[in-house]
Amino acid sequence: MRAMSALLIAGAALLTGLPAWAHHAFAQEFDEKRPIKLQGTVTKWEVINPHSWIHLDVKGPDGKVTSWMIEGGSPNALFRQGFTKDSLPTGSEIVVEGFQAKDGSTRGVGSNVVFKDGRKLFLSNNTPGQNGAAAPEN
Amino acid sequence: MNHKLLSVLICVHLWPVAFAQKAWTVPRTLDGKPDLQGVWSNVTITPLERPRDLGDKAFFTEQEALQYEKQVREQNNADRRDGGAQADVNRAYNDFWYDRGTKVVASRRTSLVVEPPDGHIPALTPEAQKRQADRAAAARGRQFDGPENRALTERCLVWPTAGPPMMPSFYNNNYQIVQGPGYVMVLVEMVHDVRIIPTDGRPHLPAHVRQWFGDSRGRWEGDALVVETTNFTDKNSFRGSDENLKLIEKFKRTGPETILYEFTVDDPTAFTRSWSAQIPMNRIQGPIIEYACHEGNYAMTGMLAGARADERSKE
Repeated sequence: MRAMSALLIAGAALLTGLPAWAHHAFAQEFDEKRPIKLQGTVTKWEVINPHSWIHLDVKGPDGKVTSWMIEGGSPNALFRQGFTKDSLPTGSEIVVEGFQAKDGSTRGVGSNVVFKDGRKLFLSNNTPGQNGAAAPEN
Repeated sequence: MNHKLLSVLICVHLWPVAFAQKAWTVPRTLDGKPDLQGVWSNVTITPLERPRDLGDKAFFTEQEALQYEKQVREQNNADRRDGGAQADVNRAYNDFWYDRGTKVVASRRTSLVVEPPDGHIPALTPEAQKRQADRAAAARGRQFDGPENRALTERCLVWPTAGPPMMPSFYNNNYQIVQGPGYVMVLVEMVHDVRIIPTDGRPHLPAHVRQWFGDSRGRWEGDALVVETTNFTDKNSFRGSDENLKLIEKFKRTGPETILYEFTVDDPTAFTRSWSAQIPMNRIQGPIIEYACHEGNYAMTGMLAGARADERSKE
Protein backbone atom coordinates (compact mmCIF):
# COMPACT_ATOMS: atom_id res chain seq x y z
CA MET A 1 0.00 0.00 0.00
CA ARG A 2 1.35 3.37 -0.78
CA ALA A 3 0.26 6.92 -0.92
CA MET A 4 0.90 8.95 -3.97
CA SER A 5 1.96 12.48 -3.37
CA ALA A 6 -0.20 15.28 -4.52
CA LEU A 7 0.66 16.62 -7.93
CA LEU A 8 0.26 20.14 -9.04
CA ILE A 9 -1.71 20.68 -12.18
CA ALA A 10 -1.92 24.11 -13.72
CA GLY A 11 -4.14 25.56 -16.38
CA ALA A 12 -7.32 23.64 -15.75
CA ALA A 13 -9.77 23.75 -18.62
CA LEU A 14 -12.99 25.57 -18.16
CA LEU A 15 -15.99 23.58 -17.16
CA THR A 16 -18.46 23.20 -19.98
CA GLY A 17 -21.68 21.35 -20.52
CA LEU A 18 -22.12 20.29 -16.92
CA PRO A 19 -24.65 21.25 -14.30
CA ALA A 20 -23.49 24.54 -12.84
CA TRP A 21 -25.08 23.73 -9.53
CA ALA A 22 -24.71 21.10 -6.89
CA HIS A 23 -25.51 20.81 -3.26
CA HIS A 24 -22.61 23.01 -2.37
CA ALA A 25 -19.73 24.87 -3.85
CA PHE A 26 -17.26 22.03 -4.36
CA ALA A 27 -14.83 24.41 -5.99
CA GLN A 28 -14.73 26.49 -2.80
CA GLU A 29 -14.12 23.50 -0.58
CA PHE A 30 -11.74 21.46 -2.72
CA ASP A 31 -8.71 22.62 -4.60
CA GLU A 32 -8.30 21.79 -8.27
CA LYS A 33 -4.59 22.44 -7.76
CA ARG A 34 -4.36 19.68 -5.15
CA PRO A 35 -5.18 16.46 -6.99
CA ILE A 36 -4.76 13.34 -4.90
CA LYS A 37 -4.52 9.64 -5.55
CA LEU A 38 -4.82 7.61 -2.42
CA GLN A 39 -4.84 3.91 -1.75
CA GLY A 40 -6.00 3.03 1.69
CA THR A 41 -8.07 0.93 4.03
CA VAL A 42 -11.59 1.93 4.94
CA THR A 43 -11.88 2.55 8.68
CA LYS A 44 -15.43 3.88 8.65
CA TRP A 45 -18.14 4.74 6.21
CA GLU A 46 -20.18 7.54 7.65
CA VAL A 47 -23.63 7.09 6.16
CA ILE A 48 -24.78 10.56 7.00
CA ASN A 49 -26.89 13.32 5.44
CA PRO A 50 -26.62 15.27 3.29
CA HIS A 51 -23.56 13.45 1.96
CA SER A 52 -21.78 10.36 3.17
CA TRP A 53 -18.08 10.33 4.04
CA ILE A 54 -15.61 7.50 3.59
CA HIS A 55 -12.84 7.44 6.19
CA LEU A 56 -9.67 5.68 5.20
CA ASP A 57 -6.17 5.17 6.50
CA VAL A 58 -3.41 5.72 4.02
CA LYS A 59 0.13 4.52 4.71
CA GLY A 60 2.82 6.74 3.30
CA PRO A 61 6.18 5.60 1.89
CA ASP A 62 7.69 6.26 5.31
CA GLY A 63 5.16 3.95 6.94
CA LYS A 64 3.32 6.80 8.57
CA VAL A 65 -0.44 6.40 8.49
CA THR A 66 -2.62 9.37 7.64
CA SER A 67 -6.39 9.38 8.05
CA TRP A 68 -8.41 10.84 5.19
CA MET A 69 -12.10 11.64 4.72
CA ILE A 70 -13.59 11.43 1.24
CA GLU A 71 -16.95 12.96 0.49
CA GLY A 72 -19.58 10.78 -1.11
CA GLY A 73 -23.21 10.93 -2.15
CA SER A 74 -26.56 11.07 -0.41
CA PRO A 75 -27.27 7.93 1.64
CA ASN A 76 -30.82 7.88 0.25
CA ALA A 77 -29.70 7.64 -3.36
CA LEU A 78 -27.09 5.04 -2.50
CA PHE A 79 -29.57 2.92 -0.61
CA ARG A 80 -32.02 2.99 -3.50
CA GLN A 81 -29.29 1.80 -5.79
CA GLY A 82 -28.74 -1.18 -3.56
CA PHE A 83 -25.68 0.20 -1.83
CA THR A 84 -25.85 -0.58 1.87
CA LYS A 85 -23.47 -0.33 4.82
CA ASP A 86 -22.33 -3.84 3.96
CA SER A 87 -21.24 -2.71 0.51
CA LEU A 88 -18.21 -0.93 1.88
CA PRO A 89 -17.10 -2.82 4.97
CA THR A 90 -14.38 -1.65 7.28
CA GLY A 91 -11.10 -3.02 6.01
CA SER A 92 -11.99 -2.63 2.33
CA GLU A 93 -9.06 -1.47 0.29
CA ILE A 94 -9.97 1.29 -2.11
CA VAL A 95 -8.28 3.71 -4.44
CA VAL A 96 -9.45 7.30 -4.57
CA GLU A 97 -8.57 9.85 -7.17
CA GLY A 98 -9.82 13.32 -6.40
CA PHE A 99 -8.94 16.65 -4.90
CA GLN A 100 -7.85 17.76 -1.45
CA ALA A 101 -9.54 20.41 0.67
CA LYS A 102 -8.30 23.94 0.12
CA ASP A 103 -7.40 24.40 3.77
CA GLY A 104 -4.89 21.57 3.49
CA SER A 105 -6.76 19.23 5.82
CA THR A 106 -6.82 15.58 4.85
CA ARG A 107 -10.28 15.72 3.40
CA GLY A 108 -11.12 15.25 -0.22
CA VAL A 109 -13.71 14.72 -2.86
CA GLY A 110 -13.27 11.55 -4.86
CA SER A 111 -13.83 11.95 -8.55
CA ASN A 112 -12.99 8.29 -8.97
CA VAL A 113 -13.43 5.78 -6.18
CA VAL A 114 -12.78 2.11 -6.93
CA PHE A 115 -11.86 -1.03 -5.08
CA LYS A 116 -8.21 -1.97 -5.14
CA ASP A 117 -8.84 -4.48 -7.93
CA GLY A 118 -10.35 -1.73 -10.10
CA ARG A 119 -14.02 -2.60 -9.63
CA LYS A 120 -16.24 0.40 -9.29
CA LEU A 121 -18.00 0.65 -5.96
CA PHE A 122 -21.31 0.55 -7.73
CA LEU A 123 -22.84 1.14 -11.11
CA SER A 124 -25.42 3.88 -11.17
CA ASN A 125 -28.71 4.77 -12.78
CA ASN A 126 -30.92 1.81 -12.12
CA THR A 127 -33.22 3.44 -9.63
CA PRO A 128 -36.85 2.29 -9.60
CA GLY A 129 -39.17 5.00 -10.81
CA GLN A 130 -36.70 6.85 -12.93
CA ASN A 131 -37.92 5.12 -16.04
CA GLY A 132 -40.21 7.62 -17.69
CA ALA A 133 -41.68 4.84 -19.84
CA ALA A 134 -44.48 4.41 -17.35
CA ALA A 135 -45.29 8.10 -17.43
CA PRO A 136 -48.53 9.35 -18.88
CA GLU A 137 -48.97 11.20 -22.12
CA ASN A 138 -48.93 14.83 -21.11
CA MET B 1 -78.61 -26.79 -26.01
CA ASN B 2 -81.31 -24.42 -24.93
CA HIS B 3 -80.97 -20.67 -25.16
CA LYS B 4 -80.70 -20.23 -21.43
CA LEU B 5 -77.76 -22.57 -21.14
CA LEU B 6 -76.14 -20.97 -24.16
CA SER B 7 -76.47 -17.54 -22.57
CA VAL B 8 -74.88 -18.76 -19.36
CA LEU B 9 -72.01 -20.33 -21.24
CA ILE B 10 -71.43 -17.18 -23.25
CA CYS B 11 -71.46 -15.08 -20.11
CA VAL B 12 -69.06 -17.40 -18.33
CA HIS B 13 -66.84 -17.46 -21.36
CA LEU B 14 -66.82 -13.72 -21.95
CA TRP B 15 -66.80 -12.57 -18.36
CA PRO B 16 -62.99 -12.64 -17.95
CA VAL B 17 -62.63 -10.68 -21.20
CA ALA B 18 -65.14 -8.08 -20.09
CA PHE B 19 -63.40 -7.84 -16.74
CA ALA B 20 -59.97 -7.47 -18.32
CA GLN B 21 -61.21 -4.75 -20.65
CA LYS B 22 -62.87 -2.74 -17.91
CA ALA B 23 -61.53 0.76 -18.28
CA TRP B 24 -59.26 2.09 -15.58
CA THR B 25 -60.95 4.71 -13.46
CA VAL B 26 -59.46 7.06 -10.95
CA PRO B 27 -59.41 5.23 -7.62
CA ARG B 28 -61.10 6.99 -4.72
CA THR B 29 -60.63 7.13 -1.01
CA LEU B 30 -63.35 6.05 1.41
CA ASP B 31 -64.68 9.61 1.47
CA GLY B 32 -64.92 9.63 -2.34
CA LYS B 33 -61.93 11.82 -3.16
CA PRO B 34 -59.46 10.89 -5.93
CA ASP B 35 -56.84 8.67 -4.31
CA LEU B 36 -53.38 10.12 -4.83
CA GLN B 37 -51.78 8.16 -2.04
CA GLY B 38 -48.52 6.35 -2.46
CA VAL B 39 -44.83 6.96 -3.02
CA TRP B 40 -43.96 8.67 -6.27
CA SER B 41 -40.89 9.83 -8.17
CA ASN B 42 -40.69 12.73 -10.61
CA VAL B 43 -37.18 12.01 -11.84
CA THR B 44 -36.58 12.70 -15.53
CA ILE B 45 -33.85 14.15 -17.67
CA THR B 46 -36.32 16.28 -19.60
CA PRO B 47 -35.13 19.80 -18.81
CA LEU B 48 -37.38 22.47 -17.35
CA GLU B 49 -36.72 24.68 -20.38
CA ARG B 50 -36.31 23.57 -23.96
CA PRO B 51 -32.68 23.45 -25.06
CA ARG B 52 -32.06 26.48 -27.29
CA ASP B 53 -30.79 24.41 -30.18
CA LEU B 54 -34.17 22.68 -30.50
CA GLY B 55 -35.87 25.87 -31.65
CA ASP B 56 -39.63 25.37 -31.88
CA LYS B 57 -39.53 21.59 -31.60
CA ALA B 58 -41.98 20.77 -28.82
CA PHE B 59 -41.75 16.96 -29.02
CA PHE B 60 -39.00 14.50 -29.79
CA THR B 61 -39.63 11.63 -32.14
CA GLU B 62 -38.91 8.26 -30.58
CA GLN B 63 -35.52 8.15 -32.25
CA GLU B 64 -34.65 11.69 -31.24
CA ALA B 65 -35.63 10.93 -27.66
CA LEU B 66 -33.26 7.96 -27.57
CA GLN B 67 -30.49 10.11 -29.01
CA TYR B 68 -31.15 12.90 -26.50
CA GLU B 69 -31.14 10.43 -23.61
CA LYS B 70 -27.82 9.06 -24.78
CA GLN B 71 -26.38 12.56 -25.11
CA VAL B 72 -27.52 13.62 -21.63
CA ARG B 73 -26.28 10.40 -20.04
CA GLU B 74 -22.86 11.06 -21.54
CA GLN B 75 -22.92 14.70 -20.48
CA ASN B 76 -24.01 13.86 -16.93
CA ASN B 77 -21.54 11.05 -16.56
CA ALA B 78 -19.41 12.07 -13.61
CA ASP B 79 -16.93 9.33 -14.49
CA ARG B 80 -15.82 11.33 -17.51
CA ARG B 81 -12.34 12.69 -17.11
CA ASP B 82 -12.33 15.27 -19.88
CA GLY B 83 -12.49 18.97 -19.11
CA GLY B 84 -9.55 19.17 -16.73
CA ALA B 85 -9.19 19.50 -13.00
CA GLN B 86 -11.79 22.22 -12.54
CA ALA B 87 -14.40 20.08 -14.28
CA ASP B 88 -13.40 17.14 -12.11
CA VAL B 89 -13.83 19.14 -8.92
CA ASN B 90 -17.26 20.31 -9.99
CA ARG B 91 -18.34 16.86 -11.08
CA ALA B 92 -17.50 15.83 -7.55
CA TYR B 93 -17.24 12.11 -7.09
CA ASN B 94 -18.29 9.02 -8.99
CA ASP B 95 -21.41 8.84 -11.08
CA PHE B 96 -22.99 6.37 -8.73
CA TRP B 97 -23.52 9.03 -6.12
CA TYR B 98 -26.16 10.65 -8.31
CA ASP B 99 -29.74 9.69 -9.19
CA ARG B 100 -30.54 12.00 -12.08
CA GLY B 101 -32.57 9.58 -14.16
CA THR B 102 -31.96 8.45 -17.69
CA LYS B 103 -35.29 8.93 -19.46
CA VAL B 104 -37.24 11.79 -20.95
CA VAL B 105 -40.93 12.08 -20.03
CA ALA B 106 -43.18 9.61 -21.83
CA SER B 107 -44.86 12.35 -23.85
CA ARG B 108 -41.39 13.09 -25.28
CA ARG B 109 -41.90 16.79 -24.74
CA THR B 110 -38.63 18.66 -25.08
CA SER B 111 -39.25 20.74 -21.93
CA LEU B 112 -41.25 20.50 -18.75
CA VAL B 113 -42.47 24.04 -19.45
CA VAL B 114 -45.60 23.72 -21.60
CA GLU B 115 -46.76 27.32 -21.48
CA PRO B 116 -45.63 29.55 -23.11
CA PRO B 117 -45.42 27.19 -26.07
CA ASP B 118 -41.77 28.05 -26.73
CA GLY B 119 -40.88 25.99 -23.65
CA HIS B 120 -39.08 28.83 -21.93
CA ILE B 121 -39.66 30.67 -18.68
CA PRO B 122 -40.82 34.18 -19.58
CA ALA B 123 -38.52 37.13 -19.00
CA LEU B 124 -38.42 38.80 -15.61
CA THR B 125 -40.00 42.20 -15.29
CA PRO B 126 -37.57 45.15 -15.17
CA GLU B 127 -38.17 45.57 -11.42
CA ALA B 128 -37.47 41.87 -10.80
CA GLN B 129 -34.29 42.11 -12.85
CA LYS B 130 -33.19 45.11 -10.82
CA ARG B 131 -33.96 43.31 -7.58
CA GLN B 132 -31.84 40.35 -8.66
CA ALA B 133 -29.00 42.59 -9.77
CA ASP B 134 -29.10 44.54 -6.49
CA ARG B 135 -28.95 41.35 -4.47
CA ALA B 136 -26.08 40.00 -6.53
CA ALA B 137 -24.21 43.29 -6.13
CA ALA B 138 -24.75 43.30 -2.37
CA ALA B 139 -23.46 39.73 -2.09
CA ARG B 140 -20.48 40.14 -4.40
CA GLY B 141 -17.22 39.48 -2.63
CA ARG B 142 -18.98 38.50 0.55
CA GLN B 143 -20.36 35.12 -0.48
CA PHE B 144 -18.07 33.23 1.88
CA ASP B 145 -17.97 35.65 4.80
CA GLY B 146 -20.04 33.35 6.97
CA PRO B 147 -22.73 30.68 6.88
CA GLU B 148 -25.52 33.22 6.64
CA ASN B 149 -24.09 34.37 3.31
CA ARG B 150 -24.30 30.92 1.80
CA ALA B 151 -27.07 29.51 -0.34
CA LEU B 152 -30.23 28.32 1.36
CA THR B 153 -29.51 24.82 0.02
CA GLU B 154 -26.07 24.73 1.62
CA ARG B 155 -27.62 25.87 4.87
CA CYS B 156 -30.15 23.04 4.52
CA LEU B 157 -33.03 25.48 4.91
CA VAL B 158 -34.96 24.96 1.70
CA TRP B 159 -34.26 23.43 -1.67
CA PRO B 160 -35.49 25.19 -4.81
CA THR B 161 -36.73 21.95 -6.38
CA ALA B 162 -38.44 20.62 -3.23
CA GLY B 163 -41.32 22.94 -3.77
CA PRO B 164 -43.74 24.24 -3.98
CA PRO B 165 -43.55 23.68 -6.90
CA MET B 166 -41.89 20.27 -6.87
CA MET B 167 -39.26 19.61 -9.49
CA PRO B 168 -36.85 16.81 -10.34
CA SER B 169 -33.30 17.23 -9.11
CA PHE B 170 -30.15 15.08 -9.09
CA TYR B 171 -31.32 12.88 -6.24
CA ASN B 172 -34.10 12.50 -3.66
CA ASN B 173 -36.82 12.99 -6.29
CA ASN B 174 -39.33 11.13 -4.18
CA TYR B 175 -42.61 12.06 -2.59
CA GLN B 176 -45.18 10.36 -0.39
CA ILE B 177 -48.78 11.50 -0.51
CA VAL B 178 -51.13 10.69 2.36
CA GLN B 179 -54.77 11.80 2.50
CA GLY B 180 -57.10 12.24 5.42
CA PRO B 181 -60.42 13.99 5.86
CA GLY B 182 -59.78 17.67 5.15
CA TYR B 183 -56.06 17.31 4.47
CA VAL B 184 -53.50 16.11 1.98
CA MET B 185 -49.93 15.60 3.16
CA VAL B 186 -46.96 15.53 0.83
CA LEU B 187 -43.70 14.31 2.31
CA VAL B 188 -40.86 15.57 0.14
CA GLU B 189 -37.70 13.54 0.43
CA MET B 190 -35.42 16.42 -0.53
CA VAL B 191 -34.50 18.12 2.72
CA HIS B 192 -37.31 16.12 4.40
CA ASP B 193 -39.96 18.77 3.92
CA VAL B 194 -43.58 18.12 4.77
CA ARG B 195 -46.45 19.96 3.15
CA ILE B 196 -49.73 19.74 5.02
CA ILE B 197 -52.42 21.06 2.71
CA PRO B 198 -55.91 21.77 4.12
CA THR B 199 -58.72 20.89 1.74
CA ASP B 200 -61.56 21.92 4.00
CA GLY B 201 -62.22 25.28 2.38
CA ARG B 202 -60.59 27.43 5.02
CA PRO B 203 -59.23 30.79 3.82
CA HIS B 204 -55.56 31.61 3.35
CA LEU B 205 -53.56 33.04 6.23
CA PRO B 206 -53.71 36.82 6.61
CA ALA B 207 -51.59 38.58 3.98
CA HIS B 208 -48.98 39.72 6.52
CA VAL B 209 -48.11 36.13 7.48
CA ARG B 210 -45.33 34.98 5.18
CA GLN B 211 -43.84 31.48 5.08
CA TRP B 212 -40.90 29.76 3.38
CA PHE B 213 -43.26 27.32 1.65
CA GLY B 214 -46.07 29.82 1.36
CA ASP B 215 -49.56 28.91 2.50
CA SER B 216 -51.26 26.12 0.55
CA ARG B 217 -54.97 25.46 0.23
CA GLY B 218 -56.33 22.49 -1.70
CA ARG B 219 -59.64 21.83 -3.39
CA TRP B 220 -61.01 18.93 -5.40
CA GLU B 221 -62.01 19.64 -8.98
CA GLY B 222 -63.35 16.52 -10.71
CA ASP B 223 -60.55 13.97 -10.62
CA ALA B 224 -57.88 16.49 -9.69
CA LEU B 225 -56.49 18.02 -6.55
CA VAL B 226 -55.87 21.71 -7.13
CA VAL B 227 -53.58 23.48 -4.67
CA GLU B 228 -53.22 27.24 -4.51
CA THR B 229 -50.23 28.59 -2.62
CA THR B 230 -49.72 32.23 -1.67
CA ASN B 231 -48.10 34.10 1.26
CA PHE B 232 -44.53 33.38 0.12
CA THR B 233 -41.61 35.30 1.60
CA ASP B 234 -39.06 37.39 -0.22
CA LYS B 235 -36.29 35.26 1.33
CA ASN B 236 -36.45 32.57 -1.29
CA SER B 237 -37.34 32.57 -4.92
CA PHE B 238 -38.42 30.07 -7.52
CA ARG B 239 -36.72 30.96 -10.78
CA GLY B 240 -37.00 34.65 -10.04
CA SER B 241 -40.40 34.70 -8.32
CA ASP B 242 -41.05 37.05 -5.41
CA GLU B 243 -43.38 37.15 -2.42
CA ASN B 244 -46.36 37.92 -4.67
CA LEU B 245 -46.20 34.51 -6.30
CA LYS B 246 -49.51 32.72 -6.63
CA LEU B 247 -48.78 29.13 -7.46
CA ILE B 248 -51.43 26.73 -8.73
CA GLU B 249 -50.59 23.03 -8.65
CA LYS B 250 -52.74 20.27 -10.06
CA PHE B 251 -52.39 16.58 -9.22
CA LYS B 252 -54.33 14.16 -11.36
CA ARG B 253 -54.14 10.37 -11.50
CA THR B 254 -53.66 9.26 -15.11
CA GLY B 255 -53.20 5.54 -14.57
CA PRO B 256 -52.61 2.88 -11.95
CA GLU B 257 -48.98 3.92 -11.59
CA THR B 258 -48.99 7.57 -12.60
CA ILE B 259 -49.94 11.07 -11.57
CA LEU B 260 -49.69 14.05 -13.87
CA TYR B 261 -48.46 17.00 -11.85
CA GLU B 262 -48.88 20.46 -13.34
CA PHE B 263 -48.12 23.87 -11.96
CA THR B 264 -48.71 27.46 -13.04
CA VAL B 265 -46.59 30.34 -11.84
CA ASP B 266 -48.55 33.57 -11.64
CA ASP B 267 -46.45 36.44 -10.38
CA PRO B 268 -46.97 39.66 -12.35
CA THR B 269 -44.39 41.62 -10.37
CA ALA B 270 -41.69 39.07 -11.22
CA PHE B 271 -42.56 37.58 -14.63
CA THR B 272 -43.79 39.31 -17.76
CA ARG B 273 -46.42 36.59 -18.09
CA SER B 274 -47.58 33.48 -16.26
CA TRP B 275 -46.08 30.12 -17.16
CA SER B 276 -46.85 26.45 -16.64
CA ALA B 277 -45.08 23.11 -16.52
CA GLN B 278 -46.09 19.46 -16.51
CA ILE B 279 -44.17 16.70 -14.77
CA PRO B 280 -45.27 13.07 -14.63
CA MET B 281 -44.88 11.26 -11.33
CA ASN B 282 -44.39 7.51 -11.35
CA ARG B 283 -45.14 5.14 -8.51
CA ILE B 284 -42.08 3.65 -6.89
CA GLN B 285 -41.38 1.23 -4.13
CA GLY B 286 -41.11 3.15 -0.88
CA PRO B 287 -40.28 4.09 1.65
CA ILE B 288 -39.20 7.69 1.69
CA ILE B 289 -35.91 7.90 3.53
CA GLU B 290 -35.18 10.70 5.94
CA TYR B 291 -32.83 13.31 4.52
CA ALA B 292 -31.90 15.30 7.59
CA CYS B 293 -29.77 17.65 5.55
CA HIS B 294 -27.87 19.38 8.32
CA GLU B 295 -27.02 16.16 10.14
CA GLY B 296 -23.52 16.00 8.73
CA ASN B 297 -23.21 19.23 6.81
CA TYR B 298 -19.43 19.21 6.97
CA ALA B 299 -19.41 21.03 3.66
CA MET B 300 -20.38 24.29 5.33
CA THR B 301 -17.26 24.41 7.50
CA GLY B 302 -15.25 22.99 4.60
CA MET B 303 -16.27 25.79 2.25
CA LEU B 304 -15.66 28.52 4.80
CA ALA B 305 -12.28 26.98 5.72
CA GLY B 306 -11.49 26.97 2.00
CA ALA B 307 -12.38 30.64 1.76
CA ARG B 308 -10.15 31.48 4.74
CA ALA B 309 -7.31 29.51 3.13
CA ASP B 310 -7.84 31.49 -0.09
CA GLU B 311 -7.63 34.75 1.86
CA ARG B 312 -4.42 33.71 3.60
CA SER B 313 -2.84 32.78 0.30
CA LYS B 314 -3.56 36.27 -1.01
CA GLU B 315 -2.12 38.10 1.99
